[in-house]
Order: sequence, then structure tokens, then C-alpha cells
Amino acid sequence: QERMVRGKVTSAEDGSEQPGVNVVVKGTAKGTVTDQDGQYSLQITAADEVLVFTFIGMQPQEVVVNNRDRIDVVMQADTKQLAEVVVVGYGTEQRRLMTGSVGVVKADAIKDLPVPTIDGVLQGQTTGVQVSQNSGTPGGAMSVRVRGTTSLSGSGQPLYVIDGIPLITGDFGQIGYEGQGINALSDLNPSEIESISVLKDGAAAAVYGARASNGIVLITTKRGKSGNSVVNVNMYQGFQQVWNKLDMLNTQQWMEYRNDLAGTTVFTEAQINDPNKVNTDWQKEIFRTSPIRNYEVSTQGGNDKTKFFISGGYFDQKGILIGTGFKRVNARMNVDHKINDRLNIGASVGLTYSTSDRVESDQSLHGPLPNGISTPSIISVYNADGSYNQSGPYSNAVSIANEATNKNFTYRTLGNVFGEYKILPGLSVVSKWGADFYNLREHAFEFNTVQGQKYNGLGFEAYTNVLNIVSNNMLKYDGSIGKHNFDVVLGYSFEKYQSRDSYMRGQDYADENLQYINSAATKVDVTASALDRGIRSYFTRINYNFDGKYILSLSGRVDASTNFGPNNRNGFFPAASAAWRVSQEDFFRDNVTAVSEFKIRASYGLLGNDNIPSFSYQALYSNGSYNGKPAIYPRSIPNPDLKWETTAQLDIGVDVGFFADRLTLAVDYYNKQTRDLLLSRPLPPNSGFSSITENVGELQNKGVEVTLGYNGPLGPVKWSSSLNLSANRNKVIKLYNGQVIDDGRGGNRIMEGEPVGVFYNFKSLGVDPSTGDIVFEDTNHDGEITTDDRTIIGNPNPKFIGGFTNTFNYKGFDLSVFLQFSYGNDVFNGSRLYLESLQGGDNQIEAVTRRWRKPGDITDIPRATSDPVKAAENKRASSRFIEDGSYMRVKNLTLGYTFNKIFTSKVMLSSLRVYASAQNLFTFTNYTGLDPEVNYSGNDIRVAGTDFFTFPQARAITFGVNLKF
Amino acid sequence: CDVLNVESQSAVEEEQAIKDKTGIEKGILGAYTSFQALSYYGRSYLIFSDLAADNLDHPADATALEYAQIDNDVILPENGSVDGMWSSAYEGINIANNIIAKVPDMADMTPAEKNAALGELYFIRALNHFNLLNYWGSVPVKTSPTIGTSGLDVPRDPVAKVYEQIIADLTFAEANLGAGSTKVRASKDAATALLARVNLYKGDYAQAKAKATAVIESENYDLIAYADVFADGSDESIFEIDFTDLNRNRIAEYNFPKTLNGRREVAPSPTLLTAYEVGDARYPVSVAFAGALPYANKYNDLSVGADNVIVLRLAEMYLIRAEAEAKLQGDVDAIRQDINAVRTRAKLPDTNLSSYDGLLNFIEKERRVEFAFEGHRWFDLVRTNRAVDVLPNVNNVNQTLFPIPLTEIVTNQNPGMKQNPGY
Repeated sequence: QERMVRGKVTSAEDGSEQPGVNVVVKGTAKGTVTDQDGQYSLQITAADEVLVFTFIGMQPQEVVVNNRDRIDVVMQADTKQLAEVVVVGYGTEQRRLMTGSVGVVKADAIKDLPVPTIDGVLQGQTTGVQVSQNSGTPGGAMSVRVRGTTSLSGSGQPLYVIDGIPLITGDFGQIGYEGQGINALSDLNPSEIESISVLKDGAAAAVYGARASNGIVLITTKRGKSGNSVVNVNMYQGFQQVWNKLDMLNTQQWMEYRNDLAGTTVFTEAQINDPNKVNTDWQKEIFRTSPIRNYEVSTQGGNDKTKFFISGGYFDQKGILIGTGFKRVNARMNVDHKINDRLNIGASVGLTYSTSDRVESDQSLHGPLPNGISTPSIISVYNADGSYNQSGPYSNAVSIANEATNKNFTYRTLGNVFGEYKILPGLSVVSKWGADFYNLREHAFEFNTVQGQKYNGLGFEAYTNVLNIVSNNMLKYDGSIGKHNFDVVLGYSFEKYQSRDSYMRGQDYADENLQYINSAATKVDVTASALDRGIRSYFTRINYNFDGKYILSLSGRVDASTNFGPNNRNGFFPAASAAWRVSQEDFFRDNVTAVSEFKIRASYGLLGNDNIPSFSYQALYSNGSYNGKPAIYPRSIPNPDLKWETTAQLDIGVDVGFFADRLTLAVDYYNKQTRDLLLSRPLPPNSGFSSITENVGELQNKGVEVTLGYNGPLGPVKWSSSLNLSANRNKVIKLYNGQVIDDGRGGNRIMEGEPVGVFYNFKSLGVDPSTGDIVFEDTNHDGEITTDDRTIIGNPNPKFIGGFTNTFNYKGFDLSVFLQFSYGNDVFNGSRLYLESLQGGDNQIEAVTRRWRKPGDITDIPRATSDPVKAAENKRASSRFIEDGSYMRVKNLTLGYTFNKIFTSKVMLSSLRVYASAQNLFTFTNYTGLDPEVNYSGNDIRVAGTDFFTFPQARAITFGVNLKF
Repeated sequence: CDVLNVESQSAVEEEQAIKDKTGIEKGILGAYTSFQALSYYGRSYLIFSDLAADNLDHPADATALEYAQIDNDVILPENGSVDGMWSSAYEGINIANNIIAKVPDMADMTPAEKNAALGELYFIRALNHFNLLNYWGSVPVKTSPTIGTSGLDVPRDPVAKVYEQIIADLTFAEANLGAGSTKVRASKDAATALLARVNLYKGDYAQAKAKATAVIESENYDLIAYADVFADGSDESIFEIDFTDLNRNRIAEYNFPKTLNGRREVAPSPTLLTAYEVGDARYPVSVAFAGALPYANKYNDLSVGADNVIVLRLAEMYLIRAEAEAKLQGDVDAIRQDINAVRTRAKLPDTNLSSYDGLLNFIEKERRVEFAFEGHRWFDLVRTNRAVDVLPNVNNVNQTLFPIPLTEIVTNQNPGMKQNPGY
């Protein structure tokens, strides 16, 4: 016979009603869920003796019915469940039981940053991760290095994995802009992210095998939670400005300099003193105050069976340099559903459409930034008739920005579906299939520019279509026998990568308004190409702990990659780690009460890198044409023995918590030894080839990372603070035959015994007071200055980097200050090569007014001379242009106010916060260029630390509001 | 799902690439493509000989530092454009050697076809070796393909050995090549014409004279109106490098002034402009003006860069024969006739100089204007040991050889790979 049981579920913490609690008759499928007010009612029979109450984050309770018809329950928070869970490769782990080194960034830490990209928000947030903006290009690429440069090939970027699916990253742009690359990562909206884990050591990363040596960035998107549906609205709007300008010559100084250079009167005294002479501030013409805005709405909710997260966002940023901008529209839907007690399924879909406007820069003679800065103030922007004034040394910067179209469009779908079936208690099988479709369209056209006129209209159209399909299949076991706890993963995964692209260039356009290739009379450089790649992997991880005290973890992965030849297709990457939680020992707990956590951990693992051009192992012939017929020629020297490079990483760390973990300290020491370095080794050109990809060389990175955190009261203020410091020492141990590799404008060199990419060039001893010419050091004392006199003159690798975050909460106010710094890195200021050339028609920086004029002058700037040999020698790339690139930035400062509940409930909101935020508010640096954060050639490892008219970072001031209802 | 079974979609495996006659044909064309490189006939190689000498200057407001070094005759071994010339030439040699090694195994080719194919490849190899020799002096002679990474540490071979190989290759080519159906591929006459130049540079004047005579007397080529010489496949051209809209040259881009949307990295030197005699029909063809700014105008397809670049043409054969005859102290009338053939076409009066020295000086001047911007001037002054006397920036004979590119010096472990003196 049936009867009804009713009751109310409340929380022990604050006595509030608990909606969404599962109430199930033990041993049956019969059950219900508590309503808004925590009430439930359930039909039961006499045989039903026990009710089970469960809710996420709470301890489950079993209650014997005992003939009662009203049962009220008070749920206790489950401290074990609340313990911080960290996403790791193919699973999660409790932080306190972790043996590896993982940097974690939570959604909270990045929520107010007006930074549109994932790599951007990583900057300064965790130890061991060096993020440098290659330039200030909106939506542009950044360099991310995890624990130093581990490899000399490929990009050195970590592998990004989103919700378990490796992501297509990098720059697929075919219309090159040198360092202003497109960033495939920019299609992800950081506000969709729940957490980011950076896997740094062997124990954490080895489960990603042949792609792990540059580190792994695991991104987890937000998912639904059972309970009331919540709608979040976040908006901000603001403006950006250039934070620094160069002091350039004004017209009067320019005229005096030209007279000095020519040695005759080019400009008369009357011209120099003419108050009406043209005096254009070109930086004012090319930089602007530009808007930035972001709107997003998300909602999450669900019940015990189905949970969802749906979000949509719109981001719009105009660049501080005219002609640039980035826009993104994106949507995401993550759904989890429980079909029955054994089977869970879920899906995640992210859709993005983004566009960016770019300008040529850096290496080009058609970039608004280099052209603008290099044009003397004597040149006006427009002629009297309103047309662009093209009489400067380079084509008119404003004309390029206004008249040239360079647009990219990305259409991105990132999705996965998964199912998890519980075979037995603790044992489950999981299968996840994901795909990343990346479509890039590039459209460029110019007509009314100097370059456009050269070709009577010049247009490009490029399409790139990349597909990566991933399948992860795992058997998982999680269980305990007495105090022995096990967590085992056994997996099989494969990935199929396909890219197809096409590229067209057209000239001779019918009309300036017809921008597409169908209107071009001459079609040149019409190409299309294809690339297929695959990787197949088996992996496992076994975590064991005894009583949460002694922890042991073993992992391994076997990868077969098509990047390697048949002789060496499979690589094995094992790792082992162990930790001892001393603080769990009785002797410690009883005697050292101030220390709440004390863990010692060590790990050792092998990590691989397969980031090399495909098919380097094969003897291949490339195609070309001659005399209108197909032509073929050998492409490269085959290397059938080609294999992955291996990094053996040792990590020793301690995690300490004081005063109930209010104060925490984590210290790691690591030693990474990379061998079989994949190197595009330069060959003697007499071979007919420039290089061969080989496993040669060894590289070492050693470092120390310290994270100090405080979370607690400071008088009436709640204060949380985190300081992270990382020091990495990189050294090239061995290269092929000791052969050096030179590259870059500043003379970056890779050589044995030195950090990667040291500046190797002439050493300037300054200006000879008697001649006004630069004197170079004759390092080999042979009486003449030759190439052999070059020496190490700088190091682009920082001595240490770090970030310091402080958040204060007082009543409704919150204030956060985020400092980010880099110390001890040198920058080659390649712009000065032209801006202090004292030659040619380039505008000069104001510093040249202190140039040498007459014998006896003591100065650092040489004379202006029309002697071409001397002038060329004086501006030779040398230590004269190496500068200290250390900086400290107030990266972000945010002040927010959250209205109290009484007020917000009146306006039908559950929460309301307003804030103001400043990005790059202050920068402290001795660097004389526009911005110390530079990488003129993007991610290229070999030419780090070179500034060459690089697009500077913006200072952004934004005002935002967060609503919740 | 077999994700590991993938093949390159953009390149073909060696065994598949060359299996028969058509494969060899594609390979021969492949060997020509290295000439099209921007560092080679596509731009720098063509420009540098005039720039290092006194036909072209690097204007003060131009930006290419590598070009400034060439103009100043103060060249650093790391100069990338110089490196590019060296690398492109050896790339061409290696492609030729690869195909040469495969020719004997082709079952579907007759012995005559094989010899013709080898002749064309030998010609390509010889031209590359010769171009190397002229800038760098003694250079490694490469006659076998690069296989693997062994055997790449090679010494520089003596100049005599380089000449020996070039002449052997060209002699074979001359004997086995036919008339050819296009000027953008080597022919029997192209081999003979190049032999004439090689022998002139080497100082074997009798051979130079004989080979030049053979080309002239073949009557396959005409001294046509100067304005028509530089059109693709003109009647005067003996051998030229093919450029199309897909394989562009950037010569005009570097010559044209900014007002005409060029980069003006080089400009005709004032002394060249005055070297033209009044009424010289070659002047308006060679030099154009944008306002007051002169610029080289022989290769002027700025937009597409599809104009072919001439390597060998008939006028050079006349001037080679004249110079060889003068060096041999031969028939003054014959010398004058050859010079005057070129001058008549230029609408200039005949010369009636009679001393050999006078004639040799006259030929030097005549070559300067006849071949301005065609990449002859530096070699002419260097081979006659006149560079130090004529060029203000060249004060030392060491400067007459370019530095071996740093990449070769650094990567080549052979003790015989030494830098040229003075660098």
C-alpha cells in the first residue's frame, strides 16, 4: 500500500532551503527533487525503508523512514567534495593529492580583464609561463613559453586542449604581415572559461606524450549546475590609447639636421624660422583613441538529470593604430544529461565568427606604423588639393591605413560529444569525440595607395580550411581498498588533421570599387595545397595514495605520429611521481599546528615534441613551372631516421600551507634536459639545400618557481594576494658540430654554452670624440673590424618574470591590482637603426640633436655625414641598439562595487556589480622604444627580443557592469 | 580508423618523380627554375654587377642595407643577398646533378636523347659554376648530386679546375644540343656563345674568337633595332631566362623611382649617363627619366615582372671577337668592323682607332654602355684587372672578390673552405 512522505531540506551552513536535492528510495529508481523552497513529497510503499538525499557539494544522507510521513533533513557541506579539484590530462585530481606541477587560473582571476584572448589572460597569472605579446595588434598572436624554450624548431608554443580536444592554434594567414599574425586562439572567448590548467612538469604532461614538451594548456569551459537557473550579463565599454610616443624631430630640428648632413644650406635661415612651416606630428596621425566594448549573456542551470550552460558574446575592439580592429561574435552551449544511473552523455559546441582588420607592419615598406614614424614632420599628410601627400620617403601612412583593405574572417566550430557508462561501481568507460573546424578567409585589396597604383589595383583572396578530428576513449577506475586509494585511466586516442588552402593574387583591376579577383585582369600566384597528418596514441595513468599521505603516480603514453619516418614512428613517454603529505602524519599534526599543509613532491618524466614540417623524412620532389610547363626539383634531403625530440624533466617541489591554508607557499625546482633536438640544421649551401631537419643537439632549462598566496582578513578588509616569480636559465648544450645558427636583424645566435638567441654582433665602444664616428671593439685584436669581431652583446631571455595580484574586498567594494613584470631581458631596438641612421630620408628621433658636431664633442650619437661608407658603418647593427627590456606593468587595476542584496532584489536582480578597469595603466621601463613587449617576428624562437616598428600595447580604460538574475 | 596512412599532397616521392623521359624533361625544367630566384636573375645577380661597379648607385634615401654594401664595395660576409646568389647557383647545380645521375637509367630514351638531355643539364651546371667563379674566384666544383648529408664539407677548387669543368660541360653541350625551339632553354648556339665568354674571361683568346665567330656566322641571330632587343625571344637573343606572371622578376621594382611606384634601391650613376655619346640610340632605351630622376629601363615590367632576362645575345659575340682579336694583336680592321657593327646599330659613327690598347679601352667603354644594367660591368673590370683603377670605392684587389657567404664558412667544416682575403 502506498503513502506519501513530505519534508523540507535545509542547509546546515545558513539554514536556507535547498532546492534541487535528489531524494531517492534506496535500491530503486523511485525518487524526486526538492522544489524552490526545499520541499519535496514522495510516494512510497511499506517496503521502502530508507531515503537517500544527495546534492553536489553536500554529504549524502540516508534516513530510515520508520513509518514517519514527515522527514526534514539538514544537509552538511562535504569538505572532501569542496576540496579544490584541478583539471589534469584526461581527468581531474584533488589539488592536495597532486604530485605534479600544474599552474591553475580560475575564471575569477580573469573576469574583469579587457583581454580578448586566452593566451593574453594567462599573462602573469601563474609561475613558469612566460607570455609576451608579439605586438599590440588587436586579436593578434602572442608567444607563450612554459618553463623556457625547450625546442628550437616549430613555434615553441604549448599544446592547447579545450575540454579534452586538442585545439588548432597558430597563424594560418597566407597574406603575411610579419609578427602581426592571425591567432587561431583568438576565436575562444575567455569568459566561457571555467579554469585553465598549465601542465608544466613530466608527471602532469607526459600523458600528452609526443606533444608535451612545450607544456600543455588545458582549458575547461563552464558547464551547467543543478539548481536555479542563473542568467549572467556582463558588459564593458571603454577606450584605448597609446601609452607612449617617441620623441621625434620637429620641422625646425629636421631642417637643421638636413643642413648639417648635407654640409650646405638645404634650408635657409628664413625657412627654418618660418612660423607657418609644415610641422606634422605623424604619430598623432597614425595613433588614435579607439573604442573597445564587450557584451555577453550566459545562463546556466539544470536539475539532477540535465544541466546546461549557454552563452553568447560580442566583442568589438578598434586598434589604437588606424586601420586596425578585431571583432568577435561567439556562442557556446554545453549540455550534460544523465540517461540513467549508469549512462551520462554530454555535448559542447562553440561557434565563433570573427573579423579583423590588419595593416602591414614590421618588415614592410607599406605599414602605417613604420611609415608614419619614419616620415619627417616637414611632410604634410595631404596636399593642398586634398590628395595624399606621397612626397615622403615612404608611402603615406594615412593613405595605407585608409585605402588598403586587409580583412580576415574566421568561421570556427569547436565541438565534442561524449558518453560515460558505469560498468561497475568505480569502473567506467568514457568515449569523447571532438572536432575543430577552422575556416579562415583573407581578403586584401588596395587601389589608391602607392602599392595599389604600382599594380593598377592589387588584391588577394586566401582561404584556409583546417579540420582536426579527435577521438578519446578511456577506461577509468576509481576506488579504495581500506586506506589504499586508486585512480586509474587507460586510454586510446587518435587524431586526424587535414588542411586545405588556396591563395590568389590579382592585379589590374577594372575599377577601384570592384575588390574581388573576378575583376582583376591579371591573376598571378594562384595556388592551392593540401596537408594530411595523423597521430595515434595509447596512454595510461595510475594514481595511488595511502590514506591521503603517501601518493604515487605513474603515467605513460605511446604516440605514433605521421611526422616521423617508418624507422621511428612510435615514441614512448613515461613519467613517475611521488608525494608525501607530511602534514597528515600524526607526529606533525600534533606538534606543528601552525602548518596546515606540508607536502613534498618529486616527479620525473619524458616529454616529446613532434613539431616539425610533415614528411621531412621522405625524399620528395617539389613542383614548379618553367617555360609554361611543369618542372620538378628535389625539395629536401630525406631523413628516414627522423624522430621526436625528448625532454627529460625533473621537478622537485613543496607545497606549504600556514594557518588553515590562509597563507600558502609553493616552490618548485625543475631541470629539463632536451635531447635529440629537432633542428632545421643549416647545411653548407654548396649542397643545393639550405637546411635539413635532424635530431641533433641538446638544450637545458633549469629554474625555480615560487608562488606565495594569502587569503584572509586584513583588519575589516578581506584580502587575497598572490605573488608568482619564475626564474628560468636556458642553455644550449650541444649543436651539430658546434655549428652556430644566426638569424634576425639584431644578430640572434644559437650557440653552445649560451642561452638560445643571444645577440651576437659588433660591440660599439661609442662615438670617437675626434672623428664623430662609432668605434667598434676589435675583439680579436687583429687591427681591423671584421665579422670575426662580433661577440655576445645581449640576452633576450629574462632573468625572472612574475606577476603580483592583490584583491581587496570591503563591504560592497572590490579592488584588484595586478602587476606583471619581466626583468633582465635585452631588446634589440631595430627601429633605431633607421631612426638614428643620420642618413637617408627617414625621420629621426630627437636624441640625434645631441649628435657629434665638432672634434672634442662627447656624445653617444655619431655625426651626420654624407660619406656613405662611414654612415653605413655608424649605423651598423651593434650593441649601440641593445637596450635593457626589463619592465614592470600595472597590467590591470579594477575597482568594483557590488550593490547590496536588498537593493538588487528590488530591481529583480540577484546580483549587481559595477566596475572600472584600467589595462596597462602604468609601465615602468628604461626601454626607449614604443613598448618593451616586442617580438617582431612573432613566435619565431630564433629571433626573440627584437623590436622593429612593432605595434605597441594599448592602455585601455573600461567601465563594466555584471548583472545576475 | 587508420590515421597514420597519409601521403604528401604537395610533393611527390623521388622514385615516382623521375621514371622516364617525361620525368627527365620536367627535371631539366626544374633545373632552370633556380635561375628565376630573386637573388639570381630575378633581381640581385643582375643588378649587383652594375652596382658593385660604376653603372648603378644605391641612392642615399634607399633602404636596402645589403645593396648599400655592394655599392660601397664594403661587403659583409653575412650579406643575405650575396648569400642568396651563392645558394641559388648551387641549388641549380644540385638539381642538374640529380637529373644527370638519373638520365643513364631511363629505358625509354635513345642514346641521342640522353645526350641531348645531358647537354642541356651540363649547360645549366656550367652557367652556374661560371657565375660563381666570377664573383668569388675559386669555388667548389660540384658534379654529383647531394645525397644524404655526407660529403658536403668540400674545399674550394682552384680557378683552373673550375674553368676546366665549365669548358668540359659546355663542350659536351655544344656537341650534343640542337638548335632548340625556344630561347629560354639552352641550345647548341647558347653553349657556343657561353664558351666564347668563358674563354674570353679565362684569357684563351683564340678559343674565344673561334666560338664568337661560330655564333656570328651561324646567322641564326640579328643585330636588330636596340629598342627591340629586350622583348621576349628577340632575334638578337641567344639564351634568356624565362619569367612569367607566376615566376616574376623584381628588377623593375628595384630600379623604378618611387613616383612610378618602384623602390629605387638602385639608380644609374652620373658617370654612366655621361659615358653615352651624343646620339647613342641605346641611351633612350637603357635610361628613362621620371622628372629629373633617371632609372634603368631595360627590364621595365613593374606590374607583373614577366619580362625575360637575357643572358647571351649577339652583340656580345661581336665585342668578344673584337676584344679577343685585339688581345691576339690581330687584324685591326676586323676589330674595328666588329666594334662598328655594334656602333652602327647604335646610330654612332665608326671608330677608326688603330692601337690595340686604344681599341681595348674603346671596347671596354663600348661594353659599358651596350650592356648597361645587364650584369657585365663588374666582371669586365675585374677580369681585366681594371677595377682598382676605375672604381673609386675599390682600393684594394681584395675587394674584387666577394666574401664567401658566412653560412658556407660556418657550416662547411673543410679546412679548404677559406674566406677570401680581406674579409
